[in-house]
Amino acid sequence: MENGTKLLPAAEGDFENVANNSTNLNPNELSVHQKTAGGFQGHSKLFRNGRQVWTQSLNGKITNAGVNSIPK
Amino acid sequence: MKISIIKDLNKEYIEAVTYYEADISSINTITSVDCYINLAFLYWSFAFELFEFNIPNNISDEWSILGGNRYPEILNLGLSVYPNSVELHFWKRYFSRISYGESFLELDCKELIKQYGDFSSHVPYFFLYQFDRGFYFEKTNLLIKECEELPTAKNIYIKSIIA
Repeated sequence: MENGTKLLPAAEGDFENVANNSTNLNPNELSVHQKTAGGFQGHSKLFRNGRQVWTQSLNGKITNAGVNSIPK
Repeated sequence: MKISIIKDLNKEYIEAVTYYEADISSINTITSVDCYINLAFLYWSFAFELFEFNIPNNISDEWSILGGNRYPEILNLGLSVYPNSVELHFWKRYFSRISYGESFLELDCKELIKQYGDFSSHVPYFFLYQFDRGFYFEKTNLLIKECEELPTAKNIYIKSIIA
């Protein structure tokens, strides 16, 4: 998965790792518009330190990503 | 100050959208370019900013779908009225980049500024700042002050990127 669209923090390699693993697929990470528009994928992973890393991607490129401190 | 802007500043975003829509539909007054820009920004946020915008502001799913359909229409409508607005051109390219991965880089943004000028808006500099923090520092500082003076949803977003 390529980080080709948003200027993400350089240290956040977690985003690509999460998005590259199909077991992390989670459509709940997408807005309703993205779900209905098609082509978007959401991924998330909960780490042991309580951080939940989430990504939104389109055609293999991460378009948005972040870290939630309180898991949903 | 327009009610739409006041609603935006008060974070009453659904009401702000309703008033912005009324502003741009009015045939009796000249609509400010900011109405088109702020409205398009809110609709784009509804469509794409799930964690950063919709959840904290309780924006419902129906607005997300409407936002996705409406934000490009508002940008194009604004450009039909203000074809030389650097900020409208900027948002159109920026949204395409961060939402759909379309190419829009530092040089493209500088070309927009060269073509339309930066006398009416410093907004494109928040994007350029991410490519060269030193070179664009002065313009970005001006932009931060503008965002602090008028914290609309758009300006809160810009400040969150650069401050």
